[in-house]
Amino acid sequence: MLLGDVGTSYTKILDVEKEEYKIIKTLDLLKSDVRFDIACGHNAKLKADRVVNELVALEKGSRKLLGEGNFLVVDVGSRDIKYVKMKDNKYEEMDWNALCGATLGFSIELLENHFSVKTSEIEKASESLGVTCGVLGMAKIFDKVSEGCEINNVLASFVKGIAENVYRFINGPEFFYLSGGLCNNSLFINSFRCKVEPLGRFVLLEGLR
Amino acid sequence: MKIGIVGVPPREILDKYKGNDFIDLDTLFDFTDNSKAEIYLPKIYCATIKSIIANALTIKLDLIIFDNGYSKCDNGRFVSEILKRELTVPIITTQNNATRRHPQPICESDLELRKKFDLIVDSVVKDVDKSELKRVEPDYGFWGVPPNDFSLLDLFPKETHVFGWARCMEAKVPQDLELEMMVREDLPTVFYAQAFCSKNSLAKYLAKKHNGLYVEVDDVLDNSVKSKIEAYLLLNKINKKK
Repeated sequence: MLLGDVGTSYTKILDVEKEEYKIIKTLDLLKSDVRFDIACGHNAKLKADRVVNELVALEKGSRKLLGEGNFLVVDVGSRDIKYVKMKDNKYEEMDWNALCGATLGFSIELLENHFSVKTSEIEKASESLGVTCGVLGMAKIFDKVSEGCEINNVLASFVKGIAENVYRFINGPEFFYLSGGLCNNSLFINSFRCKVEPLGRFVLLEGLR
Repeated sequence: MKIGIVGVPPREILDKYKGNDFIDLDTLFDFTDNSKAEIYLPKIYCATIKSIIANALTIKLDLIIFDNGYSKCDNGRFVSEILKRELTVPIITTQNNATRRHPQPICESDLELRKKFDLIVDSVVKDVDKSELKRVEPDYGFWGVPPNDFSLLDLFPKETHVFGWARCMEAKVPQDLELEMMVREDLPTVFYAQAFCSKNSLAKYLAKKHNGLYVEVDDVLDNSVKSKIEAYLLLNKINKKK
């Protein structure tokens, strides 16, 4: 059985029989004839007949990984931010931001490519670049660069700004679990004012099993 | 006469024109082109208000009855003034101060949610037969105004009760803020507002207070909002089974 989390930029794949995980670019997937038995994600319906809602997959996947109890899991993807809060093995609260304030992962990757920089290798900033969303934040970045500010500092302030956005969106917790592509970005994780524990990129796949 | 109406004008005004052809200008018809409104309005603006202007510019009307006070919205007040100055068709502006709440059987009926809204909107200008309506025990609530894009309503099951301004419409008290803010504490409810509408403040506040889902939609429904609502309905369904 082949499971897929078909995101905007990347597709996470699990071959259940082989217990093999794989990540490929979604654009490459779309050009291929790969089909999934079950899938979730923004482009899932293009590649599977059985599609599961992403937030439901996040809820199921996080319960499989963390068991019963009270916890908050936030998935920050290329395009959107979504979270689910569990209490006593029941869903308590959720939200999903896919438009205003979103496009975070995508913006970071775009900026990394543009400036040829790996943000995960940059020191965290003390000041946040007040950003409403990835797109509007980019205009501020280019303004700062034109003012002569050091690129790495500006990028770190930008990442702190989007971490602040996420923090406010999830109602300012003391601790949360992070899911999604930004789990690998230490700058992003360290830019939060609360404790963050990354769960990796395959949480939603666990929810499809 | 072909009469365009906006909002919920007072009964006594509508009764004066009984028998005429009423058209609800708040509606997104197949022919409504909201971009037409951009000659008077900013591009980024409430889609329902844009529809009012676009419809008023497109449909050949003999009269417009525009309920433009706090029984509608501030945007409506400003837009009625623009239309008065720019159109040749006569415009009567009203403020609906009715306080007697009529029963709201449509809001709690077993009809599909879209059908509920069709009837609620129809009930503004004509008598709707409610005698055959059956009440349904709700699994969900929908709070808000009639959305610009009615396809949003198709995401909900029949077991959805209507709250917010739409309920005030059926109760014929569009200025009744207390009724507008009424929700059922135990009912998972989606709080909907049209993007760039001041009712977003109420929707966001009530959603937070009652652990509901706040949803803001600009113009037509997109896949992201659709998935978000579906997730909320599914997760609450899973909870109910536990």
